[in-house]
Amino acid sequence: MRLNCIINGAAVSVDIDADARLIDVLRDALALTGTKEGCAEGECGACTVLIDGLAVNSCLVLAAQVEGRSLLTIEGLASGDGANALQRNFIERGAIQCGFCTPGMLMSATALLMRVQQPSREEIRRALAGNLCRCTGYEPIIEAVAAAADEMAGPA
Amino acid sequence: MAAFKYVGLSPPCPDAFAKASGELRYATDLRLAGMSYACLLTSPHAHARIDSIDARRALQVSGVIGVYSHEDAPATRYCRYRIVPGQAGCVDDESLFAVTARFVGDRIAAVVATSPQAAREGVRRIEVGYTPLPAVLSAETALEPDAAHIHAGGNLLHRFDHATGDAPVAPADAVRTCTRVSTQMLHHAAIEPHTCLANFDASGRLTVWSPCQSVYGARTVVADLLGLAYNKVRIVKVPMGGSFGGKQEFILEPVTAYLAMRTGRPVCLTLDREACIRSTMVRAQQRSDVRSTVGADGLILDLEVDTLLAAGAYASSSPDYSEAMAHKLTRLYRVGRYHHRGRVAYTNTPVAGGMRGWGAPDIATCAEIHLDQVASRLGLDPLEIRLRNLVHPGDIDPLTGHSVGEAWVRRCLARGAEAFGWRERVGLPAGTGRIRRAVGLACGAHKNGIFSDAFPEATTMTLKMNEDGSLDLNASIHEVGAGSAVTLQTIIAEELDVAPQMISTREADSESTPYDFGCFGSRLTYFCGAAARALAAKMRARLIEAAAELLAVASENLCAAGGRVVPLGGGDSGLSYAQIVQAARMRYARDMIVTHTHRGTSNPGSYCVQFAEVEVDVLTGLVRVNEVLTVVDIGRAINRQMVEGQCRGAIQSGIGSALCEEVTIDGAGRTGAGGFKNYHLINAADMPPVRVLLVEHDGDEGPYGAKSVGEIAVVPTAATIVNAVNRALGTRLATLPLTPDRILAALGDRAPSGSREPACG
Amino acid sequence: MAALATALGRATPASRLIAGGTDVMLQLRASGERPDLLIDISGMGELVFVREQGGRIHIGALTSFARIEADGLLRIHANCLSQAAAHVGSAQVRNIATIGGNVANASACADAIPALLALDADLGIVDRTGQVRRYPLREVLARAGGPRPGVGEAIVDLSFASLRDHQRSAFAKVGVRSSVAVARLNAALFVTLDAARASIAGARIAFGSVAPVAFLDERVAAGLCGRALDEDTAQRFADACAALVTEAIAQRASRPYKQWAIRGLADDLWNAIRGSPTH
Ligand code: FES
Ligand code: FES
Repeated sequence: MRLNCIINGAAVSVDIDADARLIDVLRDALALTGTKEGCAEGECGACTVLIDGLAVNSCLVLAAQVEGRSLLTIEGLASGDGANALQRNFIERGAIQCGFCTPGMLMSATALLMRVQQPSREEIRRALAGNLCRCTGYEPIIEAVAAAADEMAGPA
Repeated sequence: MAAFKYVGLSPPCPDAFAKASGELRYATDLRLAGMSYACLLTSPHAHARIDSIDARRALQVSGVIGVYSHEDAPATRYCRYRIVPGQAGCVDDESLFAVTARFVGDRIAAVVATSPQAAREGVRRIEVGYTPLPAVLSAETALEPDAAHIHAGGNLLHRFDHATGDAPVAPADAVRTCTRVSTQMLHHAAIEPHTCLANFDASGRLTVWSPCQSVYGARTVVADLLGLAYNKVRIVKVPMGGSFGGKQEFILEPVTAYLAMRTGRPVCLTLDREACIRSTMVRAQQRSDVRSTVGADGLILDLEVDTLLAAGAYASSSPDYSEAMAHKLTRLYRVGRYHHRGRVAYTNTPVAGGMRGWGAPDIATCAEIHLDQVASRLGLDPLEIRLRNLVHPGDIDPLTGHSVGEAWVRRCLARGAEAFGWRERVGLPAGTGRIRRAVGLACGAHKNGIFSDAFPEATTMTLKMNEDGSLDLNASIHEVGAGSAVTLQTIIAEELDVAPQMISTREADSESTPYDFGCFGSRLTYFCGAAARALAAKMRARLIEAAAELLAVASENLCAAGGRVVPLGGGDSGLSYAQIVQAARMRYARDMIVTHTHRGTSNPGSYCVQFAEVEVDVLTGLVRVNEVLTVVDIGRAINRQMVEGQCRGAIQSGIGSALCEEVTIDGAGRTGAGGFKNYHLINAADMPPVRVLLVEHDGDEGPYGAKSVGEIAVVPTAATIVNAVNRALGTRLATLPLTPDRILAALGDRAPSGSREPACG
Repeated sequence: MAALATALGRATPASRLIAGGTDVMLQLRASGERPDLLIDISGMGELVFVREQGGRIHIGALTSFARIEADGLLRIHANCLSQAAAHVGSAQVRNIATIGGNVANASACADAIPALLALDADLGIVDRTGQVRRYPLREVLARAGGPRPGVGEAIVDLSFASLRDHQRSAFAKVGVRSSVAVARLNAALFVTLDAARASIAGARIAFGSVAPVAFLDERVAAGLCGRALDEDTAQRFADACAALVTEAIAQRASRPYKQWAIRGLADDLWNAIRGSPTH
């Protein structure tokens, strides 16, 4: 079947199997390999993408389910060639080690900041609870999200 | 303390933006023309003879290219852990595909297909006839006289007996204590699943792309197994989404390489999470009886450990791993006599192998839980008993005869106790309500590199300076995500006084980067860092020598500073590095390239001390860790942020091993279904705030005093948490993990038989 | 809706209905099964709603847990359901998983079910003729064997009575982690207080993760009736819960743990009931 949707701002039309997972269509058919697969069971969050602004596990969603919707993946985050505020804070604050959880973390954080302008540490922890990281101990990630939120809110 | 220009700062890793933008290509992101996908069929039985393999239905699946099993693969046995040919302690007991299934998850067959879906479907359709054999699921049962043999030589894979010193005559008021501590099978849980890609081209060359920790080690294992000359096998280290030791051994490289050879196509093999847990390797299940005689003054007079470790179905690194456990405590404490006996048994369970800390967390967990029990019997503060026994800088480890080096563990403990407020907090009551609160601490020791009397420590690196003064480091770097590249960059930058960004690095490639054993054994910063420093010093000497000729002055009167070679007394008459490179080439036909082979001659202790506060809900048995303080005898932090990052990540892993991580098996040897659904990592919501203190000093052979961090940082964590829980509850829990079930069982008489803490054997 | 009925008309026992998809996707992948028909209803916006109508709260079957958690009406009328929704999986899963899917799948540990049982919810189920019939949830759960709803049926909405004065509800759960954990135990309590708000006039309590499907327990509920909101009642309540759990999971290895841990949940439920603001 044919899938039509918007990915990172661009209209996409692609042939898919009715039972194809969204993650496979993104990574294989569309070569958007920034979205990672760490568990295929909705537990690690490495595959997180945004559908109409909501963070979801792309390993748990049928590609067919995003017909007509708007998707944001890690490839759509950077502004032009440069890092956006979240990415920059992740880079500067040691929130990235092996980097495998990073795309998913960034997408969950993006969804949070779209919903809540200046989240508390607790809100950040909760929003990221579905994104596992084995390298960083989370704290630098949480700090990076908080710092990015502050930056985006601008001077009070 | 010398002033540094780059050392101790925190520049991000060179590939950080590529990671943050999704551009970095990990192994699973690589696509080759004609790529095919492999899927493994693994044994559903813990122990079974394979009578037949019928692949006909699998071959009918559209897209399936071939089905492979022991029926056509070489029967050659190999050791997945071997780094160098002929390595002592390696047992060749594993083959590409099992003839006898030895654990649930053992490789039986592989399907190669044009899509992962077809490969999976093919695997479902293979019919295997098994004759189940009696299975032994624990080291205890494996060593019973009538236990079924897992390998021809019997189940006792390895044993050792190390003793040193004489126990002083124990005074009458000395206490003798024995604790049985059990640690569980753990999954490394790198978020990137195990994966490998291989291609065998028409010219007969095999290329393997693998997120591995030793391209040269992988090369010898793969080439020997497949009968290829070493120069026909190229192993390329690709970006790695975490390892923690789980990707140190060569688990997927041999089988993927074989499948590529057989099919003549690029083959990608990626395991799902369940298979990563079951079919790669785990940290060994072990139990140790720790017996001590401790004087009323708290001095450890005698320490005896008896370890029984389950190796799983194949030897892998278990013999060496168990030996490593015996070599930690004598570099942590001064003990009158130390005696460690160990036995390692084959079991029909997932293969045990190296994991972050390599035996050090295992033995520290045992000894530190024990020591808290001793302290409580003596009425001593846990801090005090440790202060009275910890090693001092320059002590000789009686087991090896080598110095523990600049062992500043006592300072770590003192500084940590102060920063944590230990003395004020240790006496606070735990409370009597639903929530009990208490603090705990533990110490740990590990090593710095692989130098020993039995194994050399060496590496070779090349540094080339370009016409613009930029540099290319050619070294077999295996970046595991911990900052190897930026660490080496920083050291070279410091030595040559150029910005770290001026130095390019590359990852290991057995075809083009010089020999190195690999990234393991806590050797990167301490040893490879020292090599990089010496390499950069060589380059500096060469630059100065060329500048001296060009300027017609004596080289003793020149020095390198700010990317230039300048007269010692200052002045601006020097030459920039770029000028030197250009002029040396044009005038003397000389290249600014240096190669250095570095040799290690020491292996001092690395140390870490941790403090934690926990809250235990006595109704649900759930533990909440409120805060952790970790203090590391780092010597020198080359990249402060990376060092802290290692410390924080280690705490996440260590808390998990104390409380909730466990690869469980049922009575039939099956690991629980599901991957991360049943293997619980600490997530962001449950991760406590962590404070990191670094104790810095000069000394040892590491660059600027630097020592290792990635492994040592996890060593005391589990014991710290367990000690805090025991203090909060007044229990003596010593079987890990401290699940809510175990905690509640220990709290009351509600224990079903068998769940009480077992006594020493 | 008409399209749904048509699709349901083609359904066979080998067909699968996709609401959010979180559970079905995993089941399909694990089994390798390829359904003859995948009925993807996830795009049916008309099944996403929370509204009050005729003294009842109605929730569309495809309403996600994220929506339920955030919904103001439910915070007032169904605190236990808001809490249960907040405890479902991760943020990502709460965005996809739907209440209808959770009920249809009816796993032992599904968080929404004890809450809906405590609220005495009923389900609107559409069949292949397009007709919607209503069934009390507790009866649907009791239907022997087979998937719920049956072949050719789909849940379209759930409803329960709006909260009246003096009524309160609470949800409690214990998992391996504080969040993103499958429930090892979950429970929901709904009480009606007397006019003076000093004692309990009526109660419903449901337990999850102790039997193959969550269930309402009349005895524990009855034990609360007529009792004051005091420490003595709290103790009796905890004892009754513990006795119930002991009985319900007589043979399971987890019994020693759960029969004690349920006291923690009882404590949580009790504190929430006592502490929650009156309507
Ligand atoms: S891959 Fe989707 S959550 Fe792990
Ligand atoms: S950075 Fe490696 S898993 Fe998060």
